[in-house]
Amino acid sequence: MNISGVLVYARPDKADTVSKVLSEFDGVEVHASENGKLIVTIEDEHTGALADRVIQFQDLPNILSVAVVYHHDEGNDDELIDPVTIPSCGCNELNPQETQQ
Amino acid sequence: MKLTRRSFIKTNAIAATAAAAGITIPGINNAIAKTSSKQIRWDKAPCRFCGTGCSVLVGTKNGRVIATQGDPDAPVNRGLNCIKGYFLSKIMYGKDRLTKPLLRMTDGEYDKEGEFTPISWDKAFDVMADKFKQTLKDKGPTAVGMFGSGQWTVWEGYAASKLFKAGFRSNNLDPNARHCMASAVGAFMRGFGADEPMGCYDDLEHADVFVLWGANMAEMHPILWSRLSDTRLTKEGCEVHVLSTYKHRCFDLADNGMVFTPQTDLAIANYIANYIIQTKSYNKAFVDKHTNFKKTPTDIGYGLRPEHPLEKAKTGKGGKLSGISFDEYKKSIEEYTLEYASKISGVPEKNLLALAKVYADPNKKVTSYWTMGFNQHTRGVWVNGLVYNIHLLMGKISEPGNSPFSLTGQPSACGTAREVGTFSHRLPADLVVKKKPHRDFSEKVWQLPEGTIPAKPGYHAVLQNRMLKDSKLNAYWVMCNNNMQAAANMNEETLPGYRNPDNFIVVSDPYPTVTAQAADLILPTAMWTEKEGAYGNAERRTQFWRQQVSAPGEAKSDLWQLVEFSKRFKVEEVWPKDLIAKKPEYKGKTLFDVLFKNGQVDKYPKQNITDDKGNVYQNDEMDAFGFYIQKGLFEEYRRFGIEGPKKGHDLGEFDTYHKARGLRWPVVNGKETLWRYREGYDPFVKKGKDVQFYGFKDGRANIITAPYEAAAESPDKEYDLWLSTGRVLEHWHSGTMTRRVPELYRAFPDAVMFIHPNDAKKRGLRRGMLAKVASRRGDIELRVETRGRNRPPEGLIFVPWFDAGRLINKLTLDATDPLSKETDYKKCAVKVAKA
Repeated sequence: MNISGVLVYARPDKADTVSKVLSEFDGVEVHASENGKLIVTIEDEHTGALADRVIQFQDLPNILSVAVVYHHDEGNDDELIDPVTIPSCGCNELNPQETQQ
Repeated sequence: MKLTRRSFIKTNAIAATAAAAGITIPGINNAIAKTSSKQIRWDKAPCRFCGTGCSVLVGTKNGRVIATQGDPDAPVNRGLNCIKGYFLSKIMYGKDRLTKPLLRMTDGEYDKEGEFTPISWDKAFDVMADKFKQTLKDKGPTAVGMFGSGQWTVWEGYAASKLFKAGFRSNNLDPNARHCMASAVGAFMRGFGADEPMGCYDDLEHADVFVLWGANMAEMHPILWSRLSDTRLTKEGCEVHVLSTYKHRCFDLADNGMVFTPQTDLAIANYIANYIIQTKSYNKAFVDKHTNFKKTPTDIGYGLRPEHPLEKAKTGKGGKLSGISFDEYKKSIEEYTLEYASKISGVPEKNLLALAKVYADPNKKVTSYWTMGFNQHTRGVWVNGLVYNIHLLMGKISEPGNSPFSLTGQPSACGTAREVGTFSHRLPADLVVKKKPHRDFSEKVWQLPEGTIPAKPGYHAVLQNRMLKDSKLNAYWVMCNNNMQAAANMNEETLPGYRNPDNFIVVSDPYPTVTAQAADLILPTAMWTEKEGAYGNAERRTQFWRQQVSAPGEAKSDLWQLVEFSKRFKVEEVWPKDLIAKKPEYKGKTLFDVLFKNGQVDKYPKQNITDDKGNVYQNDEMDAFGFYIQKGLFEEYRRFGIEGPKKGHDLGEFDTYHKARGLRWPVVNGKETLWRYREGYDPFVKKGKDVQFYGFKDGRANIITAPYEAAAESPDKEYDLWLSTGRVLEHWHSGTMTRRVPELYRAFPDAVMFIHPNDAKKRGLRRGMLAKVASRRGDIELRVETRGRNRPPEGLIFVPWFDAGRLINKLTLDATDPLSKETDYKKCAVKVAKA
């Protein structure tokens, strides 16, 4: 299991089109879009898909920039490799056990 | 609510990304969880690649770095990571890491024509010390030299500077930053009397208008480009203007994209200044109070060998400035009208006018960015200066959003090469070897006899290769760079120099680069988080990291190599008797004793290095030398900024940097400086002065007039195309690291030739076909690319230089800016045919 969170900057007037194009890739979902900023996840079963997708995205029309924010690679380790909370959100911390089955 | 493990992880991914983007997604934020693993230790480190200086979190498990992630606490990148940065964890684990010293040998003896054979460190240093001693004895200090790096840690550059400039008494020390930042340094020193930008990355949010002059930030500085894109997309009225000699990915965001004929950026910049003056838009009060007008000698040649026809034809020389009046300045740029600038550059008048108007509008905050398009330029110092002229005329400088900003290509081009002063003419904190008070001060800090540091600048990067070829430089150490692949005109200069039988070439590297393969002795080197380090990024931010893992095999850090090698030399073997007589207590001592065990560098005893979570980190150099050498070197180096003759270079205490996500110097009373030279931001500006360019005694910056002059080599009938070289997003510099990451290699495996479809068609070429590209100096074969991210105009091709299998530097010309000695990698003439 391989899940990434990626921030895509698109031309605002083309954000809907870009969103549709991205969603057509296997394992890619667009969760939010605001002022051309798209919150995207990439899921795949094997390592390496993230790089391939990100690099494909960079070359798509109307995409200005792609940045990787989060990556979880089950292949590396059974534990979560998310190191820290995101301080800017000011959110409450949850105990991971509560949210896992 | 119970979530599946998959949806939990996914929710975290969405939340982290949304937080980094500053977007709120209802119901998502609350799901973020702190999920620290027991088995993975996380610690911060600056990225190993470009000059942006992103901070990453490095995940280590069982002595191996297994993951990296954008550091959410980092002010530079705010949790973002570009694709190269994401794969940092893999750069140290290429299958061909060098783990033992390798010497060219035949029948058990050193032989320049022999095969690389594994030997011990002891034997490697025996042979190496022997060659250096013999050379020093036969020809003196000017025959030994070193080519270093803007990728060195701060203390590695500092140790190298001490070893060569003081120990061997040779100024033949230059960094590969000569190839990338020397023109920027030259212009800062001429314009402001002090190196490095006045602004910082905060300008990315404060500016109303961004102008890119010869910088493809979308590919070369992706995280800064993300921040710039964010501002453009969210700030009303924000504009982006992009100037380049070909269309690249930044043009996708550009409100005003301009493709100009190579070298005519000089004319465009002068046109803007002329427009500002003709329309009387300039800030008269600022100009009167804070600037001087100067002119510089013209027709100064192209930094080629003296016998080259272009050097013989030149009528001017050097860069000595002379004062002129405002009216003389005004007159000097009068010819740069809109019509002339448009005609010479090929940019439509309306685009140039739009650009001039945003600079001239007092209500618009303008930040200008440039990188190699300006610096790798035979008039690099001039063209950097012409943009300062524009900002100074408008007073749009040294305040939030108004910022002329030179971006850097290497992680410590600023921190190590420039601030430590590892150039052949420099010393730490903006001091220079040719000024006696500067040498005196350095000798005082270093506790050396007066006269130790030679006054004459040494051989710069390009001259080093020429001197190797000419047998004037004979014992040579290349560390932390890949100059056989980087230096221009490899066939005619670099390779003959390295393989010259009179020379002994040592290359320290983690991998068998083309430079290493051209050497006589290869030293296996520890990299990045295999040692404790410090880098300084483009916005004056100094960042530290702790050693996370051990280096493989017998690989050792550059710091260990430099300091351990110093033990091989007695002062009697390197210094003349009269010099030693001034400090008789140094008699019989080694350079290690004099330079590093000097009571300052060895002041901090061996200690446990821990973070605030109580994790303990190794420090191999501390173990080897028995004291905290990194701290000792840094604390000694820091004295240059605090006590030195050039003010405003203060760094903080060593320990603070291990805690902070970097600090921007000058750091005074623990407080960093965001905008220099402006009262309220910069503690060195006197009260009531408002603005003070204190790099010069009179507190004024220089507006320096300089004309358009032609490139060293332009297309003609036979060689009918411009060649521009550079980088691509997926690879960093010569690809030593990124080509060993399978994902990055696969994404962009080989260099291609980006060419206009019409130019391809004219030569019977189509996309994907193999073409032969030739200059007067060499030829290589490349696949044709007529689509994709780079779209050159007719008459120009672009070829990236990361590919060791397709060495474009066989074609490039070793013409330099005669002032900065930096090579122009963006302009030479080539022809293209079917292979």
